[in-house]
Amino acid sequence: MRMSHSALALVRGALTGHTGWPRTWDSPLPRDRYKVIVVGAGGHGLATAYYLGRNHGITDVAVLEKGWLGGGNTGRNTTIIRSNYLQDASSAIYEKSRALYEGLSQELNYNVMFSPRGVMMLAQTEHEVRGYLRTARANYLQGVETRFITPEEVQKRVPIIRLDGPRYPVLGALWQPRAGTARHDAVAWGYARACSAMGMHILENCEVTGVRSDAGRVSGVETTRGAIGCERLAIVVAGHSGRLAQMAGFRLPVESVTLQALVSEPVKPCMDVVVMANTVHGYLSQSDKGEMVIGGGADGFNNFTQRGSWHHIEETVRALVETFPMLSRLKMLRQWGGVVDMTGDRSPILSPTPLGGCYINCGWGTGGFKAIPGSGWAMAEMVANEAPGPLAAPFGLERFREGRFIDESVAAGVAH
Amino acid sequence: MRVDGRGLIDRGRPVRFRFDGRDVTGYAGDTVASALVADGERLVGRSFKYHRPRGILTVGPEEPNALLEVLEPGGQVTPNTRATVQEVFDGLEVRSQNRWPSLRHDLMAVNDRFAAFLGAGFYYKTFMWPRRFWEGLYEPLIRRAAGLGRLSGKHDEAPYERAFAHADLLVIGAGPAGLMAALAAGRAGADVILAEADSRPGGRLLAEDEAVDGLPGPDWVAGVMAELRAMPNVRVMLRTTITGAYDGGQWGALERVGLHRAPAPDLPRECFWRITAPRAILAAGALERPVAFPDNDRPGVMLASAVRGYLHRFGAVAGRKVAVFGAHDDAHRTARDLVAAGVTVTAVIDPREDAPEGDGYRTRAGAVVIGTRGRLGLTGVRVREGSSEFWVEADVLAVAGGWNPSVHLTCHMGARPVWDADAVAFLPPGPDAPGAVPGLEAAASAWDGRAVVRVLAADPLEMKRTVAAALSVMRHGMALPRVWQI
Ligand SMILES: Cc1cc2nc3c(=O)[nH]c(=O)nc-3n(C[C@H](O)[C@H](O)[C@H](O)COP(=O)(O)OP(=O)(O)OC[C@H]3O[C@@H](n4cnc5c(N)ncnc54)[C@H](O)[C@@H]3O)c2cc1C
Repeated sequence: MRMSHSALALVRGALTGHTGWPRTWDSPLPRDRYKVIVVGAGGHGLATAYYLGRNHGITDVAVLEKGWLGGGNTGRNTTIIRSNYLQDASSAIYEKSRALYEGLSQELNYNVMFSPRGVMMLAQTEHEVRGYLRTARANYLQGVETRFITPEEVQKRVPIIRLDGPRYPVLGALWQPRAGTARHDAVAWGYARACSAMGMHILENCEVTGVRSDAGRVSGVETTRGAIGCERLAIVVAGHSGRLAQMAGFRLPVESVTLQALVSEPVKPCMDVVVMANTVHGYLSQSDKGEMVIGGGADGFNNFTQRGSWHHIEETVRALVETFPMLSRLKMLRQWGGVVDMTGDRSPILSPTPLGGCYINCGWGTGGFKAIPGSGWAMAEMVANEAPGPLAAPFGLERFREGRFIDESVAAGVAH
Repeated sequence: MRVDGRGLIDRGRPVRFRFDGRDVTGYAGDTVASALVADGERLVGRSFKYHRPRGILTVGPEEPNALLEVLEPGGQVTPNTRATVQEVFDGLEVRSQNRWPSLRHDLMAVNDRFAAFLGAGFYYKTFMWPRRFWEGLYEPLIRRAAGLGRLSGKHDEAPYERAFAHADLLVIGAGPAGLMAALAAGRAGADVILAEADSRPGGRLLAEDEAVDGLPGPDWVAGVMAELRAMPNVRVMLRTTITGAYDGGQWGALERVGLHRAPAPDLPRECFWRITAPRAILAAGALERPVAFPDNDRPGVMLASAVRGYLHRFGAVAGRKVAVFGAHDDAHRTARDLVAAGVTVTAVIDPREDAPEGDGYRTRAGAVVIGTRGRLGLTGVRVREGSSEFWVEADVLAVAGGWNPSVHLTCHMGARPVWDADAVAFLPPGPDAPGAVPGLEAAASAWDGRAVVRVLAADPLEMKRTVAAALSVMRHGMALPRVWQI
């Protein structure tokens, strides 16, 4: 039974000692076979499953997760949501996603705390100023609301910033007013709850160890909980995409590196917007709980460690303290890493694969949290129709062979 | 309340500081917490969400409640400073946080009345209607309510340092196990860094009434320290917390250089060290566990280890009538120490049916604490013994829930601690566990002899025997480990 979340339900819960709440999602035993298997219960995998049911009526779906739901990058990211990319193909999918975030809490009946408080990308060199002016104009043509703001406006919106910085002065910023953050775990939990309510199976502690095929077409997977058959397979495993591709018999132009983040102890509100400083390399927001959420760079070497190296923490903290000198008074509470899947053009892959019936969604790298609803929407469309729709079409694997890159190395210049 | 003749504070050097605008006098060697305990101040903070009154719980860096803002003359603020770590100095000014308008009368405490509605995760289930209220009303309200301390809003112009150090062996923690490890390695000629987060070496020996080799614990520590200080190959770093284990034998360390003194323009507040050492011994001891029962967070409920620590290290007790609760011999040790110091122990509540009889205090065997009273400060403890329930008078309740070894650093590269049912604790992962920190050997100390988890197998340094001996010392009532004579 699914109990709708409402103020009334909370009151009822309070009066009954909160003993009546059903599980947020069920944990059933695996069936022998599903129409669609989604590998990876991160945000992208769960959103794929959700929109398969919601938009295409396909509910014979299992989402397989090797660890716990949302324990990959979805639970490790700094939750920045924006859509001010440069290329049309990117703006289309990121803006679709941002727009879906606007109503996601109501859609899922689960408060994901989307907080469109505004995202500011600082321009700290002449080069960056030119780059962001160009992006602002591109965004105007794409219908994405952004503008370039002056240092004075930066200071007004972020009183704690040091404009004249010891190394790089702030020369302005690219400002997207309806960009912001959301509560990352809630996004995964909300989608999972909705999938479970549609009768889909979410199978945790179920690692895919092999992909079975029959005459060039996928027929199922092997897992740590036994073999499971399927008609179609969606691989949505972020940093582990290369390994899954290997099981399915193809190679990917993706590298896995560790990206780090850290949070401080919680303090009363001191910064109301999200600030990204690409030149000194750090970005900062304050969670609703009061923690300063800090993201930094990715390791320069490939690895799967989920921890990251020392020098990036040091570099990131130095950059942040330089930009917001008040922060040196804070203690950091936690630091962690996530394995991100980087493509050469810093754009994602949403594509059919050489194996029939097998589709892949990866390459979101350092910036895919913002894309969860849009990516799930596009991926579900591709899996349901066995062909990419308009949102996914530009992001096919063939672009790397054809040299038709969707170059976002500027828009994604900082790891976010 | 101070207890005459106890403690390692310098009673010849009074120190004046301010807490919430009020003058408090402590002594050199006090922390803010110990001075407040001696001053009879029990209410020091408010909880994060329900704004429940909170008092000092611990005597060390693990303190969850007594978090204060340190105010500086220029208007700079350092939030969330642990009163149990901050040393007092003349002119220090600290302030309680997360309350309005005052610590005693905090209007946000209404949250506690509505606790049933504000349970864990309630916000995922509500604040969704009408849709635009989230941005305009709910989220701003949530944000304002959350957070503990406050930042100043001013740029921090104070100096900080960063520095590098190298050693053959890093010893983490200067309790008995760490001191022994450093001594043995130092004598063997190794380059050693001994890092200790506290301002004084000695670990639990400062907080207990224990003799080592016929010497009071602190005197034994002083002797070992004198020898270590005389060795050119041993570097002792006090007020230095090892914060992380990283690849390539690197360790992060944060030294509180100037935080225990009045700020000065050329005095760095802190120094961030990068220590490179291929081997390390974790001798960070253990932390006592609290006990779960209703209203166990009232000001006046303290860890038994903290009650002993305030008594022995700072000559301070937090109340005049102390009750003790725990199914652990440390509960009785606490009662004995208090009685010896002339403090009234109203009861030791010990769930074990065969709990030892008290000498100078009454044991309630087979009994448990089921509640407390006294909102701004404990006044009594509700006890259930068999079929009867009654109140025991107490302004302090010392709780002894057993010990957790400080295994954190052993898990910094992904390895997981291992549950040990005999020890009733999580122990460090083995050296071959996936994600174990290379070169790090764990040696816990005071909590229990079973903490001889693994000791360094670096034969040339004879570390194995040293650390094992140091551990067995604690196990067997501190007989002198003469390992360095081997
Ligand atoms: C530190 C950090 C900060 C970031 N900051 C931002 C940000 O501010 N904004 C933003 O938009 N993006 C950000 N990102 C990127 C974002 O987190 C990711 O792009 C996004 O979460 C990817 O979601 P996902 O569902 O594809 O992957 P994941 O959440 O990683 O989910 C993949 C799942 O697949 C599972 N899996 C892997 N192998 C198997 C297998 N063999 N069998 C079964 N399951 C398997 C994993 O356990 C995992 O749960 C950040 C990332 C990191 C690491």
